[in-house]
Amino acid sequence: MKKTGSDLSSIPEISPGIAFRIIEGEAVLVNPENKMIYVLNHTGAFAWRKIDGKINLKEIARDLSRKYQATASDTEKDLLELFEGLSNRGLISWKK
Amino acid sequence: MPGYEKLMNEAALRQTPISALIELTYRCNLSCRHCYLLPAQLRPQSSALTSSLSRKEWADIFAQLAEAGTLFLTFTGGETLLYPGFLELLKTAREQRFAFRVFTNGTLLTRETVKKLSRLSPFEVELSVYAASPDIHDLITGMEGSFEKTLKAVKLLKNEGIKINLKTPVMTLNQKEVKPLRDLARDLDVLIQFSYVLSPRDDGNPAPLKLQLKTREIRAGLSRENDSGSCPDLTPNPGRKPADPICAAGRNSVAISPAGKVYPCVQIRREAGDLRKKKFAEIWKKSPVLREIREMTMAQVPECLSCRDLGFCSLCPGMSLTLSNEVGKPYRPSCELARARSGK
Repeated sequence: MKKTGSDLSSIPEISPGIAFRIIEGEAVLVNPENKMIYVLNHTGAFAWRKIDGKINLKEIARDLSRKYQATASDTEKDLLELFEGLSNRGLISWKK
Repeated sequence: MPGYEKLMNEAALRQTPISALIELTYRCNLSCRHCYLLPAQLRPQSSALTSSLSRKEWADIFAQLAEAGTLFLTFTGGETLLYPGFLELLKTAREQRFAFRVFTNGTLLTRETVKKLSRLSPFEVELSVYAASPDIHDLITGMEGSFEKTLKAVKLLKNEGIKINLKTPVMTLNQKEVKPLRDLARDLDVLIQFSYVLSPRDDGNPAPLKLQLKTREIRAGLSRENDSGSCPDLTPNPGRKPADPICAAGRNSVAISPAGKVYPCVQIRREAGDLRKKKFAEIWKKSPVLREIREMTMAQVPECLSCRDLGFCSLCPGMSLTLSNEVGKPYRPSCELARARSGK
């Protein structure tokens, strides 16, 4: 997967054109640019809901590891991978 | 669209109203001969106009729909551009993170409007085009010059990078236009979808069905849709069992009228509730009309269940209900299409 240069201090924000809805705990995301639909599972949806353009990945990982009682290092690694995927698909951008 | 069908099927199982058809206005500047809306509804000064929901009311309804899990909104009319403050309403939908489609005849779209629309990232814009010949198109719409205006709109939208679908109901008046339209769409580099089943008017008046094609004519249309010039070999849909639902109306989708009336779908004009009187969630969960529609099964359409062409049929109980008030009575135009597709 292409690297986007993000790290745990990066602050994600949802890209302007993206449509989404949380349905039964999953996040359904639609990118009108390429007409693709993506579904995030409960864990991914939890992280998605935390995106507010203010908090960074480290903080989201902290909340996630508390919620799912996972180790911080594992959560941070998974979260970086998830958000790189979201970024590569144009679903989020990084706040400058 | 990847994943769309799966998403819709899952929503139907969960009974999540993931898609809502928003009828913004019944006003229209065209008077298409096959239209299912009542002529009185289309008049600018009709009661449907005076009782239309305001932008503020729609914004509140959008919030309720978002809460219920709605992700896709389809804006239709009448002509959507005649709704006052249409673009501002779309902005509201965008802010609430809906993916939205717009149905329009395109005649009122200007360069400036299209630029504004583009900034709102519509999922797609669908325009009805009835012929590649201006005379035939204008004959159907009842407005001289409408073809040129719609074509101009297609080009403006295309230039802004907005995804466009052209839609063509094929009927007696334009049955020879399938190939010319296909060529036109190819030249414009846009998608085109042909349909062959007309609807009765909302009050059951069968007047539009005078323009309905017969099986042989539909087969000719289908064969003109592709380069081979022959009717395509279609794969039938999987078999249906008596306990299967007939369609997804009221299970994953809903329609809302300009005055806030909730219907299971645009073809089933049985009021499930009034959003000026009740919240959407209450209507969606408790309406006896929606419950009845959700409980409709293939067992209620025995003639269709045993039909050899069922696998090729786009079975629509709404059409039967509108025309005959009997869900179990096959809708003959659908039968004509199924027969044409099956090749029997």
